[in-house]
Amino acid sequence: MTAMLLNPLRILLRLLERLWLVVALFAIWWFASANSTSVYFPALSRIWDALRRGVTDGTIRSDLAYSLTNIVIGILLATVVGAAVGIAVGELEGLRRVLDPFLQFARSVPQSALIPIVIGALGIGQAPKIYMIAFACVWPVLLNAIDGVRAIAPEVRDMAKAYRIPRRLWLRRMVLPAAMPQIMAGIRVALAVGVVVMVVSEIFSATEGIGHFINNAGSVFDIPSAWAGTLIVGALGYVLSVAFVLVEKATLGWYFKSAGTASGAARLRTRGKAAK
Amino acid sequence: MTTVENLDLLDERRARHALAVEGLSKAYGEGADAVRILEDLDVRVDPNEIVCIVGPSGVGKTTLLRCLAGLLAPTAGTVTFGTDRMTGPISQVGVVFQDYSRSLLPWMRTGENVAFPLQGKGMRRAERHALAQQCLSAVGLPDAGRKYPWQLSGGMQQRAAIARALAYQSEVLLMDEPFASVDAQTRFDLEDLVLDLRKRLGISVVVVTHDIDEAVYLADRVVVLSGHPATVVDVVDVPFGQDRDQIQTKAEPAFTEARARILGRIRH
Amino acid sequence: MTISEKVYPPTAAPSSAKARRRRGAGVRKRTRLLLWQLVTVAVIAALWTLVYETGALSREIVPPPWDVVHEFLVLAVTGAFWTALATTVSNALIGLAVGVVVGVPLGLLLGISAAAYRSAQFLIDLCRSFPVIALLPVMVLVLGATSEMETVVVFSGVLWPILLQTIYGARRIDQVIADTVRSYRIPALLRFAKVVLPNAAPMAATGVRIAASASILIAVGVEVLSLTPGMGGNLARAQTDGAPALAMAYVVYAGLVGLVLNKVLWIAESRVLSWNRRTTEAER
Repeated sequence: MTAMLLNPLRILLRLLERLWLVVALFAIWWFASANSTSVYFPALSRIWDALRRGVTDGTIRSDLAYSLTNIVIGILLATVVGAAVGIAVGELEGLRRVLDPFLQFARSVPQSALIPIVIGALGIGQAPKIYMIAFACVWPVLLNAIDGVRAIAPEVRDMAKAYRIPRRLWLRRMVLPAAMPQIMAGIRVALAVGVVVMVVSEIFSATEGIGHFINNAGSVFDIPSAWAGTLIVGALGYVLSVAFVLVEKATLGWYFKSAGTASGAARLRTRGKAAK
Repeated sequence: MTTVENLDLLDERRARHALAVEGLSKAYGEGADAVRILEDLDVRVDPNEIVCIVGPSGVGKTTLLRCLAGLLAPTAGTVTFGTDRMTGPISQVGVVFQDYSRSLLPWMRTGENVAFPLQGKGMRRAERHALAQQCLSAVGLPDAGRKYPWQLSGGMQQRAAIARALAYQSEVLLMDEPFASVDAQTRFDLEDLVLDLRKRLGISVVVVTHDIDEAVYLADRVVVLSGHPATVVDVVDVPFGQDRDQIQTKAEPAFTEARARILGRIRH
Repeated sequence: MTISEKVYPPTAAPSSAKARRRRGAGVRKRTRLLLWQLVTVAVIAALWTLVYETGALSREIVPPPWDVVHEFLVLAVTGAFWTALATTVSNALIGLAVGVVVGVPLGLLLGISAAAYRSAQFLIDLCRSFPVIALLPVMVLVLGATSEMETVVVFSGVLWPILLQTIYGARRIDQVIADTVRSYRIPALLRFAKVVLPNAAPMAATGVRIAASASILIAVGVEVLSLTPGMGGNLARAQTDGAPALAMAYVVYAGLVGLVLNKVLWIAESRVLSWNRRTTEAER
């Protein structure tokens, strides 16, 4: 009986345990900066005001919408292309071995370095930004898809061969789900990369977008707005990663639940960490 | 646990053909570097027969089974099903692998797993699932269809793998050390299941095993492999018929004789 | 199909003649691979030239390949280039080093104390999903477009992968080992030194490797945006000066630096942590 009463209390306590640090830090920031006269570190209350202003007069909202559109489309593009090509290359071992050094090189190129070149050539419109995000994001997804396909247990291939599973069924219902955990890990990395490319492309040269907002605020010395924009970007990054975790749980439910069993745990061990 | 129901759709499983290898040799590599695994083997499985293949570890039992399954091409000799030569896997021959936890797909429910190979054959959805359910009932898992494989115990997963091979319209079941990964009690249940399926459905079974007791208990004939490269050193007939019992059969003197004879062959 | 043959490889005692022949086969395989890779390079170069000639994409993104190669070679002998390279790499490595010094001990602490981890988890999640480069405009205002600023930004970016991987490594002690340690009542300090540390080391090393690649990316990114001295700055300037081939050459160098760094760390890791080789391979 008491156990039942304690349950909501326990949940509340657990929630507090996880939140207190962040709340405390924010409180410290608020009060420590309350009387700040420094130009570069304005009071948190002023940042908050700038944030509210930006939201109510619509500037932050439209910039946010622009950035969000870019990154979502870019990631989707990168996922589809990366998974498809990655599965194809993963299945063709010979091709993979030949292409491996090239793929490793492509993933090592700092994507930010390409931004001046692409923007210089294609202008500051929306499409080039989407292409850049997609191009930067495709590599982690592609390389992880290859790893995922290669990690398929030989017993699975044997079974497919013994039961003469036709090629399309093999790819759609065996290879794709089997590689999905690795692909999702790749998408997680791609998300981080995508956000960076999104912000950099907008800071570098743009008329819209949250990165542009920050840059603009900085150049007119509206420091509180610049900070506000920075915080928004942080929130955006966090929200996207939370959204990703939800998607991952939904699509990979079987994977995480099966890890609770002995055979599943072995499978989990071979998933490995995606290299960034 | 081991009763078989709903035999109507499964009647097509009745074995009508013999599976045989003649003069089978298998080597890896080429020329002087070649590693010869199997040399000139003759093994035959007649309809409705259970044949067990035993031998020391690493002798090549699994290689032989793969050749029988059409998964491995022999270097010399032939693999025939009935009167036709086998050049690849065929639907009448189904394989049950040792590591069932890897060959059952974790993203599909057990029923889907059993029905999956039938999708490749173009069978319609309703039919597939009906047949899958029948096969699951046949192996003693009438309620496992909606569960995921990793929610089942090891013994149940292996039964599901057997059900899948049955559903694939196999007349001949090839099993590679199928009960090595389950505990002793479950092993007895699964052995009795195999005997039951053979008797009720009329299928043929080939079991590769390192467990001599199991081999003598199940088989009509035990094929003993030994040597490098492996050859058939003995074929032991087991005279117990189709009705066997874990306690009675194993207490018979003929059991001990067969066992001793096989063990002697392997250890020398 | 040869899948089965891969699963059951032949095992034979090699005589010297056989071993030599097998080595010969290995060399032949590698030369064939190399040949195919050269073919791929040729194909890429051909496609590139085709795109350039037809002007399908703007001439600014696609400078002629021979120009890029030319600039690439010229840079290699230009002193100023190597200075810029050294600047970028040193900024990245300093940021990385500070990240390791802060991240590893902190990660170990958080990994050992479950309560501390629960408190810090939300904060870490927030910060790790924060795109460090968004700090840049503010950073430039505060610290100016200097190497110090770059190092600070690199640090704030690489801290998170190191921290997370170290925490993960310190937490995931095999239950059997944990039980064994407890039942033998091994004192805390010894337990830390001989169980927690070696167990966390491979994961921490992975974190450092990930952070190393990230450090170069962040360093170049910072330079490109703020024109801080270094490779990225030169790259951006080359672009605005209308020399796309030069900019491309810089891009290639940037990629090579990242690749080399990753390879070096990978080798170092496998030397130092050779006992974990087996698991590392599987986890890769």
